[in-house]
Amino acid sequence: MQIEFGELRTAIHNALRSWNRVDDGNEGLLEELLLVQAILQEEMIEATPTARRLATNRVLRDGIEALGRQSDRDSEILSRRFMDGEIISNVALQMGLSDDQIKRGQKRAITQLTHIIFEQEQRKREVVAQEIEGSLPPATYSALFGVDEAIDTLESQIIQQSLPHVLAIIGLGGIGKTSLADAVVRRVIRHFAFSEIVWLTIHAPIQWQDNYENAAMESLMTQLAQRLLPHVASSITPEQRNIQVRQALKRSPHLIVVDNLEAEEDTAALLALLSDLANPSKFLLTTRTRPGTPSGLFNYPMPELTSHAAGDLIRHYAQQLGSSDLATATDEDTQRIYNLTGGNPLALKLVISLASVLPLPHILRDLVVVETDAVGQLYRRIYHQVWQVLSDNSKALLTIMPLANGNPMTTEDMQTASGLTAQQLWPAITELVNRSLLETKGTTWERRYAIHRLTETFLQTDILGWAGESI
Amino acid sequence: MTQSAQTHFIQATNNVLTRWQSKTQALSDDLLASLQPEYALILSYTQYGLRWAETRETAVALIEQIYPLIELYGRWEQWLTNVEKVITELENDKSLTMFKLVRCQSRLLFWTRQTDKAKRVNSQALIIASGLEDNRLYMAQTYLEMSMLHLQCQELAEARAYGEKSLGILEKMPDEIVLKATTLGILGHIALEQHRFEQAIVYLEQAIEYQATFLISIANLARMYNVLGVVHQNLGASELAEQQFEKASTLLEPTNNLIDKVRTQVNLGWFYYEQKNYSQAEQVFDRLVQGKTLWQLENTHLQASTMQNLGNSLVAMSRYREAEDYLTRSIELWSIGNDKINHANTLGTRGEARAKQRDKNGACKDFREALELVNAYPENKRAQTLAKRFTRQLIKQGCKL
Repeated sequence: MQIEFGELRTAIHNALRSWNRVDDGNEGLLEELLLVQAILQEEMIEATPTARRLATNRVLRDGIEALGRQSDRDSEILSRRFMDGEIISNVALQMGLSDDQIKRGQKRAITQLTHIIFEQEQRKREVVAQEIEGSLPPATYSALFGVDEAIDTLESQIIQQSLPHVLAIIGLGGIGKTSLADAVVRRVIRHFAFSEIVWLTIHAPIQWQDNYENAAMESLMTQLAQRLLPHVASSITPEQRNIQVRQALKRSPHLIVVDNLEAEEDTAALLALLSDLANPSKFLLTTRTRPGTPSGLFNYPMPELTSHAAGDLIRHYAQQLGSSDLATATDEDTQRIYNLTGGNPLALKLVISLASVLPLPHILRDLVVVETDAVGQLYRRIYHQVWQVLSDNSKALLTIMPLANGNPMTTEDMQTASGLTAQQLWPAITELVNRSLLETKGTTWERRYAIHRLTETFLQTDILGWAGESI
Repeated sequence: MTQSAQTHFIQATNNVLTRWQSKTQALSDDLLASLQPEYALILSYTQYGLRWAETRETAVALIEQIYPLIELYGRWEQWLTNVEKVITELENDKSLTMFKLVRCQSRLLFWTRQTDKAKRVNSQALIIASGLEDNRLYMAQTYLEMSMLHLQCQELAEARAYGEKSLGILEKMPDEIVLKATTLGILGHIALEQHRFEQAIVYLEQAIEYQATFLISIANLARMYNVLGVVHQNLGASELAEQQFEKASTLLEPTNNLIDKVRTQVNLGWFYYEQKNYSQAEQVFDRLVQGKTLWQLENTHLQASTMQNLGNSLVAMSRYREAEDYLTRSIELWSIGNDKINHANTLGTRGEARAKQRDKNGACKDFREALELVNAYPENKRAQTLAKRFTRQLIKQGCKL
């Protein structure tokens, strides 16, 4: 929730008046402040009424101490009036002031105290927001085009406390579902509506084909347990794990992003599980297929980019790759690409990356053949074209990426597996990233790389020749 | 690329498996803790490794080597699916690799609590091992696994027989220190369960000597001190018992092994309780309940039993009102953990605390509820003993049945 100065002042005044009050209600507590929540989280075992009061009082006491460094007198007024519970006339007598002076001083001191706590809270919020942002996978885009409305819609649905509790972004592979979810989550972070935001990715190995739903549910619960109950020992059973995950999600609102939920079959049981775990927590899914319409589910079908947004993306991405012709392309030029690829960002990026090696008319001519084919065929054509222009080292590196099964791979493992030297590895990584074939993951301190599901399918079927096989 | 993509991929699989084999050769507590982000990758690499004949042996060797990692981070069903798929494909294979695969399957079944199937699978491993050349080590490993499975099922005579067979082989293999230390530890545990306390001490002291001399694993060494402490406690050697718990505690102090730290403290508290030193027991349990570690573990069984032990200590000091609060929280935790027999046991204790405070209605309600819970387990010995206790209390308190 955003913090408003006037409301905070009133809340602080109430909290001061309730200095010695311990009961089950929320009256006179500053629980919405992250400063208070942090104390409860770090030092208290359970949020009992006493613990909540102590945490609120700690924040007030620290604030009054800071106020004392600005004005001894104001700090003393607040201490005597609220911490010691002295009446105005007594404080006035002790401090050698009139009742009116004490009243005015108290008013001024509360405003000053609010300024101090407001600033502390803003700083705390910035730190917390940065921590949460740091825990997300790095964004795989440098700019987004044509999704402002989508971000606004999803953001407002997520931050409201009522329904929907489960939201799904639905769209074709490569359409930008993950990027949209990432952009929405980065906005939602700043509302501080959730005690924790967790990003999970469902990697579906081929052997899940026969029982996708159960395997996806198991993977989901395992990952949730690892994130929410990090100290869970192997001594607890899956049933206990499920109970405890549910408890954690019910105790305080969490936002759980489940990326890449590629269910092809009926997902009724999975949705029922999510609905059971939700409220007050919420789930944001990205999926290729519509997961059904049970109550409480909000489906957001992701449209393709408009030709105008596609044009902006083409120019932006070409600029990044140093392809000056395309970076200054006219709408008419970009429309020609759009006519063939449609508004699918991954397809557009792959074509643009090719344009730095092959003449654009040549690329487009090759794609015309499949103009009327399914999107999958279009991708296949594009991937083939890209594969042809890759260096041998990049081919060697890309070929081994299915080994990670969708998980981000360390550069050490990539080097060991591919057999490339360190001098060969980095140019290959750079080439593959520039061609949108490798996605950058991990942190600034430890970079990892993964491939898009469509890239993996291309490698498995067309390069390694495993079509229809299961591993 | 000069070689075919498929050959390159198989070579890549072998490369990465070999790298992880060398990286996980000595799995210290710190290394284990640092490997969580890599766990899904290792699972995926071994999954591909099991797929091809060229890489299968390396994959199986890696899986065997990283048992502690798999035990810690779970996803056992997925590992089991991968291993069982290869075993089905290789059907009549009797090679060393097949033997190792079957042993992996047995261990994964053990972790997924399918002990009956694990015993059957392990018998299969014994048959394959008996046909292998120079098979002493494999036989000893399989006997030990069998012993652990039977211990888990409380089939103590069988557990002992298999454990002794394993030890018999290992006595002639002086280089197999790790396996021997583990076998001695298991035999010590079995002897404790069988109330052969003197023999338990002999086994455990030998195991500790090996563990300490060769610094095999701090967690295992601490666990053995804990078991030894319980043995001494049973023998009434309280000072010696306390020393063992303290040794375990000191060993674990600098590590991040939270669960063993808590278990050691619970043992210590229980020791004081048994000594009728209730205030000391209260201190130990209270420290756990008020601290953060117990709650970080999110292990309801351990939380519930600690809370109950604190309640029991207070009951023993006639501080019934305070005890009732802790027992109530323990009951809630047993309920969350769906442990009905322990739930009933704590309900019974709370009923007794209520009866002492002349809260007859509350006491009767607890005894009736407890009796209903245990009556659902007519085959379980402990449940039936508890049923008798609750029935006696219902009669004693003059409750309506």
